[in-house]
Amino acid sequence: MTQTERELVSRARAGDTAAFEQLMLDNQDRVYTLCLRMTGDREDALDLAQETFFNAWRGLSSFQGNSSFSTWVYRLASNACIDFLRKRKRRQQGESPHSLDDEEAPLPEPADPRGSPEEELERRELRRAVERGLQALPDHHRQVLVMRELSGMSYQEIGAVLDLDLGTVKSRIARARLALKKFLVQEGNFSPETPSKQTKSKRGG
Amino acid sequence: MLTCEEALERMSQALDGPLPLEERQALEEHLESCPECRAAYEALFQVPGGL
Repeated sequence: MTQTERELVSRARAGDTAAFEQLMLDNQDRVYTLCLRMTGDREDALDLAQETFFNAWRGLSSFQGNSSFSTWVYRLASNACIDFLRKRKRRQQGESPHSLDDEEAPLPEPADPRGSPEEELERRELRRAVERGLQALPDHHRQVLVMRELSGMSYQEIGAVLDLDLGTVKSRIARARLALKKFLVQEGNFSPETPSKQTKSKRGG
Repeated sequence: MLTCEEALERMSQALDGPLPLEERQALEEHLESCPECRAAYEALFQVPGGL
């Protein structure tokens, strides 16, 4: 934990709500992003984020400090999402999952310079396809992809949150990435034999 | 020789940053003889999907 975080945690444990509010502010974006991309629904994400911080407040006295506070709260969020998704699946047997569309909650744009209108359109369509792909993935694949690709967490951090060893994290990320790419290929947007001209990012997609 | 599982992990790692030389060579060696992994490699590197 950073010094600041440590101080805030100890003040919050002593009942200092302003300190806890600061901890919330520091962590809410990452928590919300995770909930949003895991559930595909803004309202559910808000509820889950609230629930997470509520649980964190209540559970502060039992927080040991073995990990950073942000890792701990992120783990609470991750568990809340998985529980929620499990319950939602049971409720919605047979219904197709809601898919966030680009207007509701656009995926963050890459820092590429803007291209022609055609390229812009292609990029938007790609982001929509990726969002559909994310929602179509099994929960444990979506989980690691959101953490790695959207929150930029290191493999070690992901391992700490999910309580997995590094090898398992690597393996899961690899499979999740491949599953997403296969989904995109199957959707008909791309053919692996024809390299897309629009792939400019260093990571190659 | 790498297993397909190990090859996939190395491909994925390569998305995050350059592979050390031995790993890169081991991967290429595997890809030379494994069409399934070649297909996976193409999907990973040629299909855009950067979030």
